[in-house]
Amino acid sequence: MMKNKKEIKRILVEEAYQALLNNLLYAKDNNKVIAVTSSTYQENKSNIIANLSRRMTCNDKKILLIDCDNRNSQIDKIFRISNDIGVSNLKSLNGDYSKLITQFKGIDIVTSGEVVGCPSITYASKEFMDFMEYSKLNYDYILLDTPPILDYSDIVAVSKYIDGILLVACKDVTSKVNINDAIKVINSNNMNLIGSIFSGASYRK
Amino acid sequence: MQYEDGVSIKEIFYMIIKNLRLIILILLVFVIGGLLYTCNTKTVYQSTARILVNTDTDGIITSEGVTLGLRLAETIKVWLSDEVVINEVVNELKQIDEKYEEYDINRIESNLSIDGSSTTLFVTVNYTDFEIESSSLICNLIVEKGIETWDDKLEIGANIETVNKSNFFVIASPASHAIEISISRELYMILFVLVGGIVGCTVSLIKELILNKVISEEDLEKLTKSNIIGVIPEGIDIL
Repeated sequence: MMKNKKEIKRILVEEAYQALLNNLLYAKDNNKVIAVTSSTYQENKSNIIANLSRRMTCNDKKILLIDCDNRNSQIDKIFRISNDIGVSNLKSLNGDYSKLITQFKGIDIVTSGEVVGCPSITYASKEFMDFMEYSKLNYDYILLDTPPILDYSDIVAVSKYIDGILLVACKDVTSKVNINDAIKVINSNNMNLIGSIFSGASYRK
Repeated sequence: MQYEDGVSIKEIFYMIIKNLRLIILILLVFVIGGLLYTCNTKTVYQSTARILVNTDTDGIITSEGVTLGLRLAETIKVWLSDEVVINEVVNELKQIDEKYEEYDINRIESNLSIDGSSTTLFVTVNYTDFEIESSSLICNLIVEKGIETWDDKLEIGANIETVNKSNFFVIASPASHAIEISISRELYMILFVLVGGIVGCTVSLIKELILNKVISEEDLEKLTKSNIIGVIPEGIDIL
């Protein structure tokens, strides 16, 4: 039976995510904690990390997805889950992470929580450090959705926990100047750039 | 956090500095173009003659006289560019010198302009030419032939104006020495340099602001100096 255009596109996108996952899983370095970022907003970063985590669970990996973009949280919207308790509430939870983690189709998700003035303070706190230690022991992969690298400096605060970064750039949206600047920030903070993801690519005929 | 929209002057300055080579290249193209244009541009000269239509035959100015004068001035304006007058001028020119053989009615008409508002008794005749002498000569001939061929009855198009010549004085001044009216070469060059600079800056800004997006995997690979580990097609947000 002939598949319609939308179905073909869907298959192509699924294959693209599977290829991304394969490249990530079989990379030389063992990157357990991976941050996904972009130079600025509107580059499809959160959608990519959500889909990536979904594919990872299909490969029998235990995944924790943490939304570290407190100011513009998207993960709760994508998965349609509550954002009442999240990373910004870590202090008040006293190590009871069961209230923090929401399960959705095999993915453990931690939303960003209520908006706070300076999220970097949360990421630099002992509570966040303890939570990351706990996560590293209990999950195969931890994916962090971090704010755009040129808009906010939060990624610098979480950089000590992450093994590598994935930089997302969107076709016709991301400017070359921004990519250059983002690379400068990554290099100046000695962060490990695993690779880049090119989003918004046209379908090949 | 609040962000300022748009591009600051400092950023525009940096964009211009970054694209200085492109700007200089465009400027050079304009300078060369300007040089070629000015070298091929002929100087244009213009002569002017004035005709005063005076109705004051006995030294007493009457409103009726002025009204008649104004009407006559309007008629003369049309008459001077009439084919009858221009044809006379062409014939006369051919008798004066061989070099005027190529002058025909169309050429003279296209270089002739006759001005004068409806509230003045003056009619101004302007004639432009590439030669300084020809400009004055033809201007004078138009006025001379215009008055000479003017009958008491002027037929202009469908209208017939009956004018008794003896009731008017028509005072025509000789054509002035022709003056150069085309823009000087120096001015042309300054204009070309200015336009070249503006076009250069605009092109470089457009290049920076519009064409400075990542459009391919190769672009991204080159910029990040890292591997592209994923290419996600547009359109569908699956989960």
